Amino acid sequence: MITRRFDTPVALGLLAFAVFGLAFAILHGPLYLSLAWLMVGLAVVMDPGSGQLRAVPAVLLALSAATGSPEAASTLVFAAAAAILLFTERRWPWRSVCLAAALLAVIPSRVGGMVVPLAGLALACVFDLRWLRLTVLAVSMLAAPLVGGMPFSTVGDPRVLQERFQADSTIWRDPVSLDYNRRTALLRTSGCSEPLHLVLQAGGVRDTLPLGTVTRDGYVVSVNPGRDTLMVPPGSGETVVMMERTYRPFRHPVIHLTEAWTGRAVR
Amino acid sequence: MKPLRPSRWRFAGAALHLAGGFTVFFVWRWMGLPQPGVWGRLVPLVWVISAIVHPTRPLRKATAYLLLAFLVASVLWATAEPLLHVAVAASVCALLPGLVDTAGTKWGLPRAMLPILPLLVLCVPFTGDEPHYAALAESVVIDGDLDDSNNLHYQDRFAVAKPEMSRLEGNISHHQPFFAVLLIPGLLGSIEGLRVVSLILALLASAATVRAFGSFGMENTEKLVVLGMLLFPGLGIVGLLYPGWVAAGLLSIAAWKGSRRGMAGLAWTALVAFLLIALKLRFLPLAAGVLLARLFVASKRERNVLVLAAVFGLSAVLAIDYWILGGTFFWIRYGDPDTVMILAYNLWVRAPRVLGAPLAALLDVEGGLVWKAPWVLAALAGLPALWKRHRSALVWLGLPVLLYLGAIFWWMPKRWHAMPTPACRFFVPCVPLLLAGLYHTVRRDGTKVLLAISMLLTGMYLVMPEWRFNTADGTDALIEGLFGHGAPAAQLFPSVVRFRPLPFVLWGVFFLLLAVWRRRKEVLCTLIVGAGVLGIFASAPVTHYETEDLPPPNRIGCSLYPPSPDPKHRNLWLGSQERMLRLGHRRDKILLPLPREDADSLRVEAALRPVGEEPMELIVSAPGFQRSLSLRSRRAPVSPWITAQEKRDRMNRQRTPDRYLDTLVVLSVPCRSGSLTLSIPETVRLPEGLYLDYLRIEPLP
Repeated sequence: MITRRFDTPVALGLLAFAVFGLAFAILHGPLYLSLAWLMVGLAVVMDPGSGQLRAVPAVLLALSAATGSPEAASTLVFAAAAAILLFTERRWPWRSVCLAAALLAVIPSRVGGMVVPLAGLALACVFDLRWLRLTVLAVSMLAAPLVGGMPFSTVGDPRVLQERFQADSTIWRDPVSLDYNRRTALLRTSGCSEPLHLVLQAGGVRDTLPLGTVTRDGYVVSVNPGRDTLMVPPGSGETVVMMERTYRPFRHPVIHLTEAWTGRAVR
Repeated sequence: MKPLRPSRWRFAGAALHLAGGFTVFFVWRWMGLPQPGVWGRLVPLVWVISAIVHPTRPLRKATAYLLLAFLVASVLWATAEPLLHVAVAASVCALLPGLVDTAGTKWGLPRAMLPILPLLVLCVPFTGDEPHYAALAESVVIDGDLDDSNNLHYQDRFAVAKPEMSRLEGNISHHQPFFAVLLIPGLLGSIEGLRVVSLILALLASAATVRAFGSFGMENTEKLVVLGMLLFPGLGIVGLLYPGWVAAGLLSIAAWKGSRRGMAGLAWTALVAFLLIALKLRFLPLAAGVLLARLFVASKRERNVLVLAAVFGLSAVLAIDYWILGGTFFWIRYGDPDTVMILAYNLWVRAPRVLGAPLAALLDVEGGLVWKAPWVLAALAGLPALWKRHRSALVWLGLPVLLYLGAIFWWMPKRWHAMPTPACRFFVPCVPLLLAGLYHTVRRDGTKVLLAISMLLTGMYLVMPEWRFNTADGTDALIEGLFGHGAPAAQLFPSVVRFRPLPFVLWGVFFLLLAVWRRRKEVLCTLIVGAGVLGIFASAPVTHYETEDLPPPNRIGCSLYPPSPDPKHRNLWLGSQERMLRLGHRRDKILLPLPREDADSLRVEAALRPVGEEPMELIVSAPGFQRSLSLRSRRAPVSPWITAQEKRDRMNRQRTPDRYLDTLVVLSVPCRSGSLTLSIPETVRLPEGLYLDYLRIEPLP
């Protein structure tokens, strides 16, 4: 079958090289992810389905190969597998390979809230009619946030903000936005003995309740909707800004931290 | 890609596009995607306009699938940042195949571009040369002069025309007034109005390209020409205030009208040549190429006339400029010995850069064509067929481009990329030639895959317009946006600024394969293998750190030098043009994780430049290790004529780090778990400090 699909020696050699290369990759990255990647990669190349559309999973795979985050790689492989599963013209045993790849990529990863999307993909895999597969997956995706919560990364690493030292003051000038995707920012204030000032802008909600908190040494200040300059008293620890809101439809909570400084920094 | 089953109802396509727009609007809010007030409205608006401008167009399968991709990615966007970019890009990208379909209809070119007009006009940052052209247009109308320094910022509080590096004597703008004059009608609509006029000029240029192709026997090229506007390099400045599209249009007019025999053709050629020079002196080689192309088709008598007219015309222009215009057109820009000096210097001292520039213009990750526009590979692959079947088209479009690129690479071997303005904008005059090449390969399956990838990239650049702007620091905005700042994979791409031969060779082979493969499977296979190999290298342990790329967890404090990313601050640097990381404050620290190896000790290599009157002290510490080093750098040799020139220009560059050579520090550090720390004991004043280029940590055998 392989020689029929790849009837030029060069293409066959390329495929062999691909298998060898990806097997080598397994030695480096997480095993489950490399296997899933390999399965989806071969599916992209060997599927006889629509041509231009296969560029989409190919690009998603390329992104997943190069991205620095394993969570991003897992979800990108899932998306690529879902794309092939939807547009392939082959029958369910072939589609189940894509499903297996998606399961393999997501389940061991640190991405939460993926139960409904995976169940939708599994159900879509059963149907031969493409529009039915499409509908099932679309409905499951739309329902996913309501049923199992919005898929999210369980890795809670905060984003460290780059400080600059100015005589005895410290300033943070790179603006950052905290939302569902990136919830926490860390300011390294452990060496600063002065109060910390933060210029914050929060919004995207339909109420006036706080969107998040600023914490330093157990001292907590809430971040309310609107523009505000907060002052956090001196302390010896780091400062954490966190967006606390959980998913609700039609809400786009966001906290923009535009700048921060300690002491008498020249702004 | 076939459209979905045709419906008996004529306007089913419009209804489906409206439904698509509503879906994007609803999903954006349902999933809580960011910026619902701007992008969450603009993108559905694009769908609605698309439905209105071509109501009888059927919905393509690709559109439906990309809409689904948007849905999937928008559910997953909170898991990882790249998914957010994929989701937003897919929502716009879904429309592009339909826009190409629209191009084949009556008034197809404007109708195809109208839907994305809001994205082009409202969302791209107003920066680079744009404020200068806008200010110049305003200056011509309001002040009646060419001094743009007192314009624009009085009219628009958001726009400021900062003084240019090469502001000329008497406050005359560096830019010529012809393009600004063309933009004048747009002044009524502020920045948006000017951009709409620029888009209209690009559309006229595209229409001229269609006519030019028709005159060479290449029919039904409307869709192809719209691709030229929708994909890079054309997309980079379409609808922005840059003269590239007008130059491409003039070139097409020359090919269309100038290729006719007789005096009419001769007159068109001469007119186009003059307008190209009036548009921008950078296009002088294009004008020369047009005249040269005319020589190929001219009779002996016409050749004599043409040569005489060219010599007389050029002399007249230079004389009028010198005696009547006071040199404002040519003489005070390029009429001094330094111009010749730079050309000679580039030829003899920078010859490797000049000769390597064409390869860099293809492969460099920031300014190279193939990264932004993979379809260019198919276009280049089509040039031999163009030579066989439409030789005249190749002469008329290719010869001027050849001279133009040759001049660009010779004149600006370090600045051919035009950064920090939109990437690849200098290559827009090449678009007609590239499209003519693409005409001969567009039916290949492999080309379709390359076009599809180019369209996906277009989707990214439309919704993340700031990614068009790179700063010649060795990192690409799109790659950093997708992979993360300082990600190991971002170091593996070929860069002229951080030149290493191996990435150029490997990626060169990769793109060569993509260019020569005709079949879809071979192209896809190459893409997957390329991505896999990239993944292998990206997942390998990091041993080499470019210090300016270190993310915040790896550096406390430390400032980048120069503070501004604009490459103009590094243009006059003699050696490498990489930015550096400065240790200048006593609290500045670099923290690098020590690799867990079986070796007893590690080799730490640091390339740095201590700048100061006294030797600078560097403290290196690791678990079980602390060393204090006193360092001094040697000055780089500088040609006497450069020193003389700097003295004349009153530039004091003697104490800047670019005037020092790298000092290489090599240490042996015990291999224990923990991190390596680099710091300095005392705060020093600018420009003093320890400027770091790179760090390398490897196990000692």
